[in-house]
Amino acid sequence: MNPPVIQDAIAKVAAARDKRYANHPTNAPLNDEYMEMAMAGEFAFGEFCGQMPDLAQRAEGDGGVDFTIMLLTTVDVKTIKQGYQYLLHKVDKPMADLYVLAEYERESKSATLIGWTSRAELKEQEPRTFGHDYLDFHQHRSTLRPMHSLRRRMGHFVRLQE
Amino acid sequence: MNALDREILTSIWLRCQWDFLVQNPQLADWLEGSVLEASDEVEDGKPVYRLLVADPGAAEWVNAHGFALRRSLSVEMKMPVLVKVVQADMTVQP
Repeated sequence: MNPPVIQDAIAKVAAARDKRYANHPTNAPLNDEYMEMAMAGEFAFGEFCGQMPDLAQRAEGDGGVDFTIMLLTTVDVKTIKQGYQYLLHKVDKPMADLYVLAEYERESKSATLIGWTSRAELKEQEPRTFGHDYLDFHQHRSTLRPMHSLRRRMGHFVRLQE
Repeated sequence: MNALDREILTSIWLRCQWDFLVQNPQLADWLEGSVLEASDEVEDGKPVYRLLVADPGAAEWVNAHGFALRRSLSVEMKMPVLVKVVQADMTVQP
C-alpha cells in the first residue's frame, strides 16, 4: 500500500488531469477511476526504477511515454483493474519501447507490477477489438516477462556506472 | 587486453543486448550471460570478436542471427566488425 502522502499526490494529480482532459478529443476514459489507476501504476513503476513519475499536465498528453529509462528506452505503464487479463495498446497510438502491466487494487488505491514486454512482442499477435470500436495490440498477462528479469538487466548498467 | 578495455567492451556489449531486448527479445534471452571478447584475428580487413554464449545449445541459434549481432556491434564500435559465436567452456578447472 502506498503511504498517505503518495495516495494524496495520486488523487490530486488524477483529479487535475481528469479536469484538464475532460473535453480533450483523444480523451476516452475507460472508467471513472481511469486517471487514478493510471497514476497508481506509474507510481509503482517509478518505485521500481527509482524515478519520479512525470506529474506535468501536458496539453497533448504523454505521447504514450510514461518513463524514459537507460539508453533512452521509453516505457509505457498500463494499469488494469483486478482480474483483468490483457495488456492493451490502441493500434493507432504511438508506441513505446517497453510496456509494463500493473494491476490496481481499489481498496488500497495502489498498484502491483505484473510483468513487462517489448514493442516487438506486443505486436506479435493480430490486433483485435476488446469491446470498443477500435483495434488493440494485446498480450495476456500470463505471457508477460517477470519484473525481476527487467530489474536484473537494468542492474547491469547500474553496476557499470558505480 | 587491459581491465579498462575489457570494461569498455562489456559496456558496449550490454548496450547491444539492451537494444536486442527491445528489437528482438528472444535473441536477448539467448544472449543473457554471454561474454564478448576481442581476438587477434582480422578477416576481410575487419577485426573479429568472439562471443562466448553461456546457454548450452544457444550457439547455433545465435549464429543464425549473425547479421543482427554484427550490425549492432558494428554500430556500437563505429566500424565494421565480425562476430564469431562459440559455446563457452563452462568446465571448472581445478
